[in-house]
Amino acid sequence: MADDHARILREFLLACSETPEKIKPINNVLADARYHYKIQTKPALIDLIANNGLEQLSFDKKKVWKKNFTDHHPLFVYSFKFKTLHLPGYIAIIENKMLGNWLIKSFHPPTKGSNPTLADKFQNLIGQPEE
Amino acid sequence: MSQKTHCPVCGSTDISFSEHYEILSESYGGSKEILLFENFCNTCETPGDFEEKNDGIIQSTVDELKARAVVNILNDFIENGFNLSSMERVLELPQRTLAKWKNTGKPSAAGVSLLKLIRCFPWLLEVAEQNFEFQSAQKIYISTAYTFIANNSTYMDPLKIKAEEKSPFSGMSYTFNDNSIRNVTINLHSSTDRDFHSEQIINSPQLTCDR
Repeated sequence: MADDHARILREFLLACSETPEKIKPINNVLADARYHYKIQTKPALIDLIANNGLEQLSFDKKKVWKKNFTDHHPLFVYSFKFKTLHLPGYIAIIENKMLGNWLIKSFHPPTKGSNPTLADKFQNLIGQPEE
Repeated sequence: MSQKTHCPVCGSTDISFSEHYEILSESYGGSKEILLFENFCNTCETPGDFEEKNDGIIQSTVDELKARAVVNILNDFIENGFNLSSMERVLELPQRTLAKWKNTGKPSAAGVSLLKLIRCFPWLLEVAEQNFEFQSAQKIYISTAYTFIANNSTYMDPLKIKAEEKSPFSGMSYTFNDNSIRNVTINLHSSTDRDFHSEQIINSPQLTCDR
């Protein structure tokens, strides 16, 4: 579906403001948020997202999560790039329909620069590892 | 009855738990080592703070370091000859505000940011004195930059530079020619034997500054 990522983003942002208890940062998300963006806690991170603190959000890619634990409920990772004031960023989210929550899988500076370039687009075409 | 921890990814309750130390730092407030917790789902191999235990520990440590930063910053100002009441006047804060912050160590988040800004850029107090008038602010900023250059661009604590400028033995003054920041005369004064020759201009280079 062409606008799949737009729906995911819209619903994720809505969940951040209306049901923050359903947002679950996993992996190193909170440590990265502390280290790179001075966001100290989970509520602070969700408040930032809910209050449009992720500027110029743009869709990056959609991938099947490589750590899917079951074939019955495959999880998809939607990644987006953003800026927060002067800093570029990368966020990857997963809608976990089985448990009815949202996972924030990654939240850190982009590893390949902040602006989409021809090289980035080429990388997208040939496939690239999850950040 | 203790509630079992569930993995937010797969829902499993087969969760293990570990601890690690992390250092939190706060500018002007120092650092503190804290013990943080991490869960690990043995079913889907996802790590994270599933029990959300760390937020409280981190927040209280950040609050403690910020309180320490407030006290340190205000002590720096006092030790360098700044008067808190005068600073309150310039910043248009009610009298005793800074003293209260120093004693309780608990200003608002905006108060902590204000203190860090004036500690990092003490010349902002002069800008505030000039009612944040833009042209005056630029001149103050440029003067500060020239002072930095005149000190061979080596790092000097801006607060100490500021304290030295307050002294009658200050080595420099600036004249903004044609009321423009683009053309500045720097007057270097001799202070041999602690005598201050305010009219004796040793060198008066004409420097221009391109914006």
